[in-house]
Amino acid sequence: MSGTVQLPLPAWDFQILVAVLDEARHGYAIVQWIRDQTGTPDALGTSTLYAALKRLSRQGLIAEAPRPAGETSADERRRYYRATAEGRAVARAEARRIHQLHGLAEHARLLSGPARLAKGRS
Amino acid sequence: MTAPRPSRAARLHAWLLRRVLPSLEAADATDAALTFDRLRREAWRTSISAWLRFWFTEWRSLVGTWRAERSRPGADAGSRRAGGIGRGRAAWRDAFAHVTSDLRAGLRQFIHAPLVSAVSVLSLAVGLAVVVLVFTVVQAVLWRPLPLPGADRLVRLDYGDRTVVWSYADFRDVVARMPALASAAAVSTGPVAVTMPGGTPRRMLAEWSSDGLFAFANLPMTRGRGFAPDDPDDVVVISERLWTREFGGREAAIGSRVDVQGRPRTIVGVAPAALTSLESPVRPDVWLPIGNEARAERGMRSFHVVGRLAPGATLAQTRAQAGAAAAGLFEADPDLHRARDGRAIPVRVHEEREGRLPAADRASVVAGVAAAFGLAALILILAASNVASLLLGRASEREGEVAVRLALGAGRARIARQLLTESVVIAAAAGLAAVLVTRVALLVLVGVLSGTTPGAPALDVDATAAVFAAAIAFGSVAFFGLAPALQGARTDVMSPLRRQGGTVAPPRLRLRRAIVSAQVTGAALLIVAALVFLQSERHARAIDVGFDPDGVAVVSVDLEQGHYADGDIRAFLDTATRMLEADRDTAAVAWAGSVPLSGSSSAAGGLRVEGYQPSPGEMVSAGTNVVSAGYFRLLRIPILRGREFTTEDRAGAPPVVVINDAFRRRYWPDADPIGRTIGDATVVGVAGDIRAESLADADRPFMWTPMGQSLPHRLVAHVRTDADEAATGGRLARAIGAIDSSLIVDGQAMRDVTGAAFVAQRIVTMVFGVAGFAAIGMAMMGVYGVLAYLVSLRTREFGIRVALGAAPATLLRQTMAEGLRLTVPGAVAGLAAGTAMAFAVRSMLVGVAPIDPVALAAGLALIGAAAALAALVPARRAARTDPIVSLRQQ
Repeated sequence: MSGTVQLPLPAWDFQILVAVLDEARHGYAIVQWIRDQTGTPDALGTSTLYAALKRLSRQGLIAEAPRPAGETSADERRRYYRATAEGRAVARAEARRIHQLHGLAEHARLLSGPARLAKGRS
Repeated sequence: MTAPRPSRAARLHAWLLRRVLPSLEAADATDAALTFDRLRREAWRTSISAWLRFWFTEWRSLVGTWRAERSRPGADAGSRRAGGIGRGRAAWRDAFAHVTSDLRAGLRQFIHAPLVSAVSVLSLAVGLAVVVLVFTVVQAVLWRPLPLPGADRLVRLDYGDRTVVWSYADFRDVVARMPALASAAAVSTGPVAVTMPGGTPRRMLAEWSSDGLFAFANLPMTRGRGFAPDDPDDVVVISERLWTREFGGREAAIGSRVDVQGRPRTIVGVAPAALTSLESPVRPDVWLPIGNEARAERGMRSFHVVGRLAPGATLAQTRAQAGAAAAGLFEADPDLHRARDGRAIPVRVHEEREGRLPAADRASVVAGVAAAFGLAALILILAASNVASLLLGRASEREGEVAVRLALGAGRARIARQLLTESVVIAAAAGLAAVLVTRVALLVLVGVLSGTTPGAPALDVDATAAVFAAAIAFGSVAFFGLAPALQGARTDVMSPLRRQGGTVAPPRLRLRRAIVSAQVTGAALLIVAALVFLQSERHARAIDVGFDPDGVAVVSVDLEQGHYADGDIRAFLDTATRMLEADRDTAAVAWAGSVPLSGSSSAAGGLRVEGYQPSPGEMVSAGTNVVSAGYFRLLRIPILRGREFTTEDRAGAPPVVVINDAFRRRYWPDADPIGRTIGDATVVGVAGDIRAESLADADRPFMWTPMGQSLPHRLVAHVRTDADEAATGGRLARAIGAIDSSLIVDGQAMRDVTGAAFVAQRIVTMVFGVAGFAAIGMAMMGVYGVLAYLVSLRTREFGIRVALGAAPATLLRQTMAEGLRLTVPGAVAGLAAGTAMAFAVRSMLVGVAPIDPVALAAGLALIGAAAALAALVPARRAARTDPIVSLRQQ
């Protein structure tokens, strides 16, 4: 089912992939996890999330997973997702790419604070 | 496992998402709806801004997904077809482009005149919100069927003429004799103190219910089970809200112990979320089985009864069986089941919704509902007329623009559509603002209601109400937008262009004048009503209520009968009295069962008054209170004859009673009441009149019984103090709470408690006042708009008159007079209507006649001043007309 996956991944796909890397999660839990990890409130809407989940499943990067044993109280209509082996590989590749970009940015002093920038100019 | 169905919003969102993303399966859509709902609820709980941000994010996300899908090269072939864009695609695109450009033009107009637009939108939003709120409340109380499956087969059973008259044993016997009922439930709600494991006691709403309640409700339990007939009476079912809040929705909640009124109980189930109280539209926090004592006691009549018709059974059959059952009760114990006319008390069966109100109250409730709807409609009409007036004004200003565009070859339909779109933009903005206003108002309302009573009112914005209000918004604005639109389309090219030099008032002005008149009428009506209520409140505050609440702190304690036996209550009273008397700020202490004018008074009926022969059908009744020794002295209620209670009036001593003067006047007008009897109690004293239930009861008979001889289950300590009453009350309440940590103890200033009598008046005054001032503001804008327009039309005429030697003062006077002509008829009509309305609600007024000269004069002065102010600016402009400039303009 999976074709070739092009890097960079579309917006949010990377975050969603990482959210289900080690643990099966349902939609709401994915939003919550991303929000907790990145500290950006409400940026990921439901439509974007489900479009991305559909896309990632089609590409074979994630697959529906059985409900985790611990979660008894959750609704049985919920669908859980988990990254496939291929998904993990793609996530790793994307992370590597981002890391390289990050190195580039460091090199260009893009991420330095304004104080250091000012010093650089003087 | 059952779970709630996704909300309407979530289902709509899921539906839209499936249109946008056709590859999404139904199961995915359900999942998405659940996620959507979780996020929505979470945002709603966080803050208003989080909630707004949620909707913004979701909207952006949906549109973004739609754009991305549309532009995706490998999009599934199906999506295009599903999108409905095929053969007629170009035509649709075209129409869409037109609408978009109209909308943009509308928005531009909107931003072009921000103040005018903001006023229209806000006033319309408030009007809509008021309608939706009134609708929501009325719907919840009167119209909405109980949220149970098969609600149309439910009936209410009344015993006699009133709804709350069932004892549990009577209910059992009657239902057993009525095979036409498939099932039935008896319930009674009331406040209780609940302590969660490791928490402090909190006041919550309990519904005591017969064991069949949950089977009767026919809704699946969220967790666990309902009550069983052989349950011990220390079980409890909790609400889903409590379960989520206190137990985080964990399974372990079932089987846990919570403390209700100082008594541990085991949680056996979590009630379905949809289940509200069968008694009134509130959501109880806990359900309790009916205790053994209450099961046996036929005299304790405190239950509401709702039944479900058996398949095939008719209301007529049920009524026939109810008649037989009532006769059965009478035969078994005639004394307990005899009506005033000597026959058996009848069992009445009503359709559930119809039976919610006792027949006696129905007329007044219907009148109240009609008044509320009338007021809401009036506010909405005023708001809509304001928008209309503004749109008409704008249309007049733009007549020239429209004519020019027509002359340049624009289609008339196109121009009409554009004008209409502008009104729709206003309506849509007002609708959105109204949703927000309603949400906030409902939050405040629920907050106020929950502050006075425990349990959450079951008030949800009703979808029907929202759709209804949206329809009114679009309808009224489109209607008012249509008039200028039609006129715009009809405009012949030449006359407005030619009229630039003319003096003829265009016909549109007639409509505007009518609208302004209507606004003045509405404003005058509301202002007069507000002033009458203000007067009434002033009078009410000056009334001598017969006791002196100043300098008194009250501390109230709820003691459950089951937990505290009589002896325990006495011990508790002694301990608490000693603690209170020892306090440094206490000057005197007395106890009572209730506080006068606090909204919780009690009364006794069917009194046997010595030597008084009631006329047939007359109910000999009086307000009652149970008070301790020293009560009258503490509240400075004068003793006119005889004595007040002493510590000698205790159990075992001859029963005694103190009456007020109104009691004496009514039942023993010519005789000395001291030594006479009421039932088996002897009158030992006559006290001054007090107003206990409402400010209006000046002549109500009242009687006091000594606390030494009968104990209430609610105790209120009255403490006279020189310190701050509220602070002292709070401190003493904490001290008394320390005696038994399972009790809820409240301390307040007595002034604050008796102030409850003013709350209803205060709210009515405020609603009328705010609406009245908003209406005056709108009317002023209307008067100003019309006059300014008239003056601008007549600039040339004024110029000529000034050139011929007319005094500027004459022009000023004439324009002002024009303003008055516009105002006076409306004002007079409004004052008359306001007086008529005050007449209709005169039972709420204290010390004011419905025709109140002060209120009328003040109303007239206020409206007159507002109109003069609005007319002043255009009048000055007219007076300052410079003949040279005005003539050169042409």
